[in-house]
Amino acid sequence: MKFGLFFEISVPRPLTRSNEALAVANTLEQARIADELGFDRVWLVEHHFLEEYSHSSAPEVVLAAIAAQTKKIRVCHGAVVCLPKMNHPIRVAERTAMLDILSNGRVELGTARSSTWTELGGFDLDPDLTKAYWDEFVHVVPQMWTRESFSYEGQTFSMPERNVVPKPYQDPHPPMWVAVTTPGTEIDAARRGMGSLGVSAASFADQEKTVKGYRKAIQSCEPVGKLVTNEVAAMNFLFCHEDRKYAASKGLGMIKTFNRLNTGCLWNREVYPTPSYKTLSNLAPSSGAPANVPNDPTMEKPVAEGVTVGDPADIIKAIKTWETTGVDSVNFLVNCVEQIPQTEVIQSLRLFAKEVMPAFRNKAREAA
Amino acid sequence: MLRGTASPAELGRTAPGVTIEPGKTIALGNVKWVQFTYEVSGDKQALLPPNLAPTTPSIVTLQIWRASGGELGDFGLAQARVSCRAGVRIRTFLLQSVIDGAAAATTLENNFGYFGTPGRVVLHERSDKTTVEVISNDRCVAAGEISSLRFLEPSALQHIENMHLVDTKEGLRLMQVEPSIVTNSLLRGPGKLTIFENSFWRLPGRELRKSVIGATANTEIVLSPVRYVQEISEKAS
Repeated sequence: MKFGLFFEISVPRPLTRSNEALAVANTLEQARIADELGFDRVWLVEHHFLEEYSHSSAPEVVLAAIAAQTKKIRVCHGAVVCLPKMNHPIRVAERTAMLDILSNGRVELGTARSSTWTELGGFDLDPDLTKAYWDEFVHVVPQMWTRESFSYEGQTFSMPERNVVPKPYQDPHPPMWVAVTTPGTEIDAARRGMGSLGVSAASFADQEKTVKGYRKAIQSCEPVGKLVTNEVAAMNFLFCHEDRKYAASKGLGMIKTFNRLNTGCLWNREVYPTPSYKTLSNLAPSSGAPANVPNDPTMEKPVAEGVTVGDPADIIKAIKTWETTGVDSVNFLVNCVEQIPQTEVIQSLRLFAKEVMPAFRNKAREAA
Repeated sequence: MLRGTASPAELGRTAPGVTIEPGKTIALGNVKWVQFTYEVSGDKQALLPPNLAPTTPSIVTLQIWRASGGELGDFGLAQARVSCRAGVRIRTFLLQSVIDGAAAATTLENNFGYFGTPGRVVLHERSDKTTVEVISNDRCVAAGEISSLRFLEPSALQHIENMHLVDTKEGLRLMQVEPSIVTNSLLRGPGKLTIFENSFWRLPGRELRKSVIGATANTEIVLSPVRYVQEISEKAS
């Protein structure tokens, strides 16, 4: 089991410049400490215009700073929105390769197509076309990384023969992932030989189903690049404290805030009838909740099962259950709009590393 | 997190008086459904009472219904709604409505908190476009068309429940109205409102900015019994 941190760079109101700077500074410190503590990955999302919820609109810049201040942790650029008006594929190939060089080969690339009208409308993008853009994108970037001469005539973009430089530090190239919010996207990932990067809460049963489908599909994949990333990552929240009641009060408060902010985003499917987005993305009814979820507007979204909030024993138990579903890694959100003081976030990470990680690291060693 | 900042007392001055009858269901029959969706300018909090939270951006929809064959007979309804959140639920908040049909207006206002503003709601379907017109007090308060229509699978349409501010015997309340909608066919195309009288639709001083999309559908609608009624907060938390 691998562990990562997943950063949204959420910013508390009022949205002052000092609050934005604080959120970024705390992100950098958490990444640095996660590296020291032995976490495997740090992921940084890409979002635009999602005030309060995520100010991570230039993740490649923050990741360069993280790469410079860390030694071992994987620097994961994801998920990059694969739509040429937001990110031209040539630019993503270039900057990811440069980041890979700067980090001595620690980059991984997550890919996505955006779920909100806030973002797609802001860039004047057609929701119907995002999947086609994404698909073309993930096929060409590995070729740009690995071929000295590349040209392309496609549906969504074209380019004459050029050598896209620099090439990545890793040979043949960094691992690639797909952000999975809608059920079925994990199969898209598997068929392309890409990792499944879960970015929304799922029940144990749904996660197990996801992993089974993914493992089966990846057996007959047609890799988009020169390597296959056969890995399923789940997302979770983390707050670890010796006092489980205290952990619950802090951790569940963070989840509640996250859910409320997440809900404030305007999802494509709410405003734009399209077969391209089958669900309301992160807002799809929580699979941890019963099917006949009450429609009471005053009710909070139910907390998904298996949340990693509690004392070390609670968290070990939850992650062991996640292990049984077949996931290979868990990425944690560790704060939301600076609701938990930075010192407590760091204490939580340290306690997790000291008491929880060994339960999984030793097992890995035994297996090896 | 942002909350609505509109004064409940101010909003409440025009709130429909409602008697909530437990279990009251009304089948509206076949409903031709047309919707224009726009991003709207201005302070997104100011349109909503404190119970509700705004979305980014704020979206205003003008939704037109022409119903036939149901319990209320043939009638038309035009409603303007603004996107919002009730807790973590996706909702819209009713700003104004016009009802074409006196009997329907009385029932929809008294039981479900629609504004029973009288008027004419006209909808024309042509081979290449659908046009609508809403007339109140002999003046056109909204008109528009959806063109270049393209068939989509009905499941591509997401219906969203509405929050209505109503005056009950216990006082002002936010009532959740839950139309149960079966979509039989769906078309989508660029939607353009050529007339939209902002003040009439309770959007004074605001502009409809970016047109998101238009859609038209053949549906069957049942107004389900009212299940959730909230006391209204006095101020933003």
